[in-house]
Amino acid sequence: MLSFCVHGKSDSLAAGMRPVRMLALGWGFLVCFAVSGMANAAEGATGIASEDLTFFEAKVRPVLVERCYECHSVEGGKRKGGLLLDHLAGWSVGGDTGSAIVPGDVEQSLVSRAISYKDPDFEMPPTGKLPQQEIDVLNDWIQRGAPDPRVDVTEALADGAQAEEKGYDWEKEKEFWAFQKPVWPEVPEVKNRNWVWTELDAFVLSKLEEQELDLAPDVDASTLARRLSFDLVGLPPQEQWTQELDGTRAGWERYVDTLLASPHFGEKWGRHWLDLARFAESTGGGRSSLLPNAWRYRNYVMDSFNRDKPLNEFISEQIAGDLMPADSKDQRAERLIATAYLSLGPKNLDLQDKELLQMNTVDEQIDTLGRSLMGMTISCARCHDHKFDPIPVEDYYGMAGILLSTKSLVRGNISSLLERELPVDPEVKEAVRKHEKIEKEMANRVIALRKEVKEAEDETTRSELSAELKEREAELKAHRASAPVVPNAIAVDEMGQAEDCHVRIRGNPHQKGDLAPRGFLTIASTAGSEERSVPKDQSGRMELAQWLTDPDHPLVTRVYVNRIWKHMTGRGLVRTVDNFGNSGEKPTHPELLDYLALDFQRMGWSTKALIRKIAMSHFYQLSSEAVESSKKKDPENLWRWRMNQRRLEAEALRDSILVVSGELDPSVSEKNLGTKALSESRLRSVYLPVFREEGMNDLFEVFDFANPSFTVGSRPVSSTPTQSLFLMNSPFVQDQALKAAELALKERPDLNVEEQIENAFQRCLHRDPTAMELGIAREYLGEDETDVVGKAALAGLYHALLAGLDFRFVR
Amino acid sequence: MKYRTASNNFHPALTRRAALQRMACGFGSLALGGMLHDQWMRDAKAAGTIGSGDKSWLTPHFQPRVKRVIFIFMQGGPSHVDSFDYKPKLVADHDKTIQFQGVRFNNFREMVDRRMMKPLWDFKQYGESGRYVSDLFPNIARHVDDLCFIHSLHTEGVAHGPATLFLHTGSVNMVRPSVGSWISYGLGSENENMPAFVTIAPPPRMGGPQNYGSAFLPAAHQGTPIGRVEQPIRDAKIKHLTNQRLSHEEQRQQFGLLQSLNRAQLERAGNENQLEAAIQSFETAFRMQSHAPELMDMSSESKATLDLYGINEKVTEDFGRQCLMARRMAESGVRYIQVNYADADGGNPRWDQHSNMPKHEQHARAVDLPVSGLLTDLKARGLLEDTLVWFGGEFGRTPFAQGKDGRDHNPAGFTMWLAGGGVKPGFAYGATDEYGYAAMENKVHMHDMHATLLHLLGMDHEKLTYRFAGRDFRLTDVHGRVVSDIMV
Repeated sequence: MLSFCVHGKSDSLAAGMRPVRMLALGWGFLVCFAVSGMANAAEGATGIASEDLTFFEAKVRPVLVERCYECHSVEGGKRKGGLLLDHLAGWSVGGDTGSAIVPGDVEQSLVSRAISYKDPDFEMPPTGKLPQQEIDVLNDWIQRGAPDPRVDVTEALADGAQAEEKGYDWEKEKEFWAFQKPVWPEVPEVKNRNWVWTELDAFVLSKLEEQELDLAPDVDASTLARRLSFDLVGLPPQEQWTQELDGTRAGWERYVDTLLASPHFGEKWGRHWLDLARFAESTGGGRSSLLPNAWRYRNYVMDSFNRDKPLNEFISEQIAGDLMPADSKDQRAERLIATAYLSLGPKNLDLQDKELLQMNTVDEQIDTLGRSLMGMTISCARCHDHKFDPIPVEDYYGMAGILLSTKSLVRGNISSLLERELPVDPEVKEAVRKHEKIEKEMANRVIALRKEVKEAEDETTRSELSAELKEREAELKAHRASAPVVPNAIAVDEMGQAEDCHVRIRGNPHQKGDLAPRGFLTIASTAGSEERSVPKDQSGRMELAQWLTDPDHPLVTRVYVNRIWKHMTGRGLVRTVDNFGNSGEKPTHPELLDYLALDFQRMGWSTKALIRKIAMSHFYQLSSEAVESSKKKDPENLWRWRMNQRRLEAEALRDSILVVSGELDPSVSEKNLGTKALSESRLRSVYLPVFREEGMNDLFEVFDFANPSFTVGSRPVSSTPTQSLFLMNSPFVQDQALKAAELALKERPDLNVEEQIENAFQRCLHRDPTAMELGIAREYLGEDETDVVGKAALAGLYHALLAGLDFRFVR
Repeated sequence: MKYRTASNNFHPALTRRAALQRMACGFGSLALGGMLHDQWMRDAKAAGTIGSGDKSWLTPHFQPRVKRVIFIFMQGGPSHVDSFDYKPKLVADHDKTIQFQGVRFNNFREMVDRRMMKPLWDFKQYGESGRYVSDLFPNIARHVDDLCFIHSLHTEGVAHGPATLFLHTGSVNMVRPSVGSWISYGLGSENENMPAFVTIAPPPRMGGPQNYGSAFLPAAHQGTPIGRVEQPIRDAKIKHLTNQRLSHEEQRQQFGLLQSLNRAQLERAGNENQLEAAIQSFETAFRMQSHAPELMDMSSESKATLDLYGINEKVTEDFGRQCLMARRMAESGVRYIQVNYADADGGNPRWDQHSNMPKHEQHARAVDLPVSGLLTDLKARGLLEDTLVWFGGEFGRTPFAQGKDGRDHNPAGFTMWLAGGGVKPGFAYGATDEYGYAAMENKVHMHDMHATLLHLLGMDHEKLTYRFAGRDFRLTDVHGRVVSDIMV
């Protein structure tokens, strides 16, 4: 663990209110200065006049030791802002902004400026101004030429030199698995050939045979049907789907295809993407602004999954849809809407430091791009070269330049997200024009009338005119209300002028370093990168999109297929799904991952084709039950000897409850539903509004709904008492249990107690009760043999089933 | 179209006879009381309510001075120059025009003219320590010998939103875990029937739930809200804590059914950890259900106690109840308790008197006696020894006037006070300039305040980290200095 740099995006740092970092020295300057510094120091040591030496030892050193060493010395263990004040080379090498001390020149010496406390952005020490006497001593010393006998700097310099020599050996860095181009692996030979149904099975089985692990048996048919239904559409199996199942492989295939073709597929898989895109319908921050048009992006995503839009096109649209050609008005609209991906991140729109707001917005975009598409934590390189991965600061600011040349915000005291008009038919345009013209005429008439009323000479005229005015005003109001609407969407645009971004020293937006030419990650450059340099007069988003969707990009496809694998099996081949870098985990099945990535491209970047392939494999049908011998050897199921057991996501849990109670409304929503809908709506969960500030649906809150402020590739799965309180006591669950009981009694009034219990198990869990469960339920419902179940008692049984383990775990 | 569950035909249904036969073998072995086997109780402690494994931040040389914190949040920015930071020069230079730098709505490097405005309330010295407190807080003033003032706070964010988030999460802009969540993560709860972090009547604006959110820390560490702002505390509840529809007996039966079915399902699934944890969380919830309402019910408190907190006076009733609830939570082992003097206003929250500074009086009247009562009560019960009370707002206010009789936000210098275990009583640390505009001497940044809080609780702020998105995050980012000069 790196205790000296445990931080995130240093937004507080960037606020520029803490002067500590202002005296920072760039590592970049260290080596050349260190060498010359050493030579100077040697000369200095011999050349110090004895009175200077006495002055230094008596006056200067104590001040430095007392006031500065805590944060700026090898001994103190800190080198804040990269500056050392415990030896000559330390201050002469200086900081980002140059040497800390210019011998003989107080004016030019940053140390003097900082201790003067004249610049609120540049104060040292941070805990308070030094006594005047000490300030005088340091200035006097600098005036004298800063004679400094402290030349024994071996340790400190070694430290500095090491940092500088970091550099990058790109060839070597590219040896890391994730930065190599995927290559077609050979499909492995296995012993148990009969078990293999697809190539994927061969990859899985060969590892299992290598590890000598025993396979779990195949799962029973009803559990399997339930598993696939939740995986593909996020709902329990419906009769109209399961009727395809006849116990044959062809029947299973038809079942898979039915689910893939269902419009609910997009609602389930679109939501996975929305987790990555940190989708929300308010900005968050201090004064959270609502985003009433954000739903368009949500529906665009779901629609794209339903239409199985190729991933390369899907990504390109979200990065540069506004710059892409369109075949039709609808496609143009779609591609504008797609770019909300860049805009929708959390922001504090009333941040007064607009430069900081801008840089934070860009940082958030880079973070999302990096983690959602490439599994890279690029934003670590905002303040310094990435500590773990070969991402230099220049690469970060190269991408920042692209996003700074892209407009997503409208600045103001309280800024807002840029919205753009969606294309409409010419008739609509014409209607708008006409409507505006009429409105203007009507408004003019109203204004004129108001004047006439004021100036009327007698009471009768005035009252007549007033009556007319009232009428005209009402007409105007009605006219305005009937205005044809040209819809808006949150979308980005090119900034008037495209430009490269200055490196910001230690991430501080106000401290500019060298210009970084716009570009992409060096480590993931592809053969096509050369020709893709960013044109001077454009942001470079088009080229960014081309680079990301280059078939040779080492990260994008791998990251994506790993996510699909994760959602289909409970865990990625790379478990850290959002981090493919050096600090992430390595793939358990690297060959399989490459196979999936290349096969995915071969199938036309088709998500549905990949999911279908997984669903048709044999290992997908494994039971999740433990095989003792394997559990002992591989308790984490790294090698996939069984299927992972999974808890339903919040959405699926809520939707399933509503299915059991018969309340689910499966229609599509084309708007933002507003806060009331959080508890009242009976639409599928994906349509409930997601606010960063106003809270969310109660069930989402306790069941680990993705935090809408970050890319979440893998939601946490917690077990908390608040979940249990919700399941036991919330009016929602109790109401739905009651409704489920009413429905059961209404539809099957003929059933006796035991049949009613079996019916309840079927409706909730898609299986019959075990003997033990039947016994427990019977005891609860009462032992009398009238064989009739009361509504309240049956509701109690439904409540226990909805709240119970088997309802929310998929086996 | 309404959706309905498919009835399943894949599995031959058990006949009733077969079912009853099987039941006879397995059923009797289960105890139907609803309580779990001890084994389950033990196994599933790892339900996520306690911080992760190694706890390297709990090093032996950081002896905890306190076990818990009560944070009394004064939303909107109470004026330090009218309350705890006495500046004779401000009185002397009343109505004079003075130049200031760094004033908002201007280029912050520019010098601008501002009219000085003396405090609207007189200051007096109190106690043996002789600290000055204004007539705004005559009751808190009686405790000065127990208080540790920090007059040199400075923070980030000049608007309410950013500054409030900074106070609570150490970040003005990014979504980060709140102080209480970090503490819950670091220390866990002292009482397994209660959450480690509660916030009473939290405001919905200026960051809202983010101010008690766990961000990327496990969800178990988010603050549990009790009631909401602008709802009488008398009616404040923890969401879904009680079942409004079932009698106690019915609920016991219901719970018995649920846990019996759960255990049967657990057995069928082969005793998976994840399932055991889920079962355990039902047990905890069931206990919390009987424990927490008791904590929130103040009917057992004596009249003397109620009077002490001002609960029998209309002006102080509501905040008095909050403070008394805080004491009861502290007593029962909750780690981090936040009480909020706040409102739901999205524009000018509570203490935000840009005009009409005299309105500060109304707010002071509502909180002065309750806070004083809390201090008295904690002390009398010996709780003050291992509890830290922390009082203040997101920033202070300017010594110069805004308009006729208002004051603007001031993040450059303001006062907060602490009381309780580990901090020097009757002490004052740091200073603002002669007018109270900017912190000058022994400056304490909000990051430093956070570092100090963690230190007092026995945690090293540089070691209390959580790995998220490939990086180790901490409350104080790369900053923070423990202010050891204020410690006993």
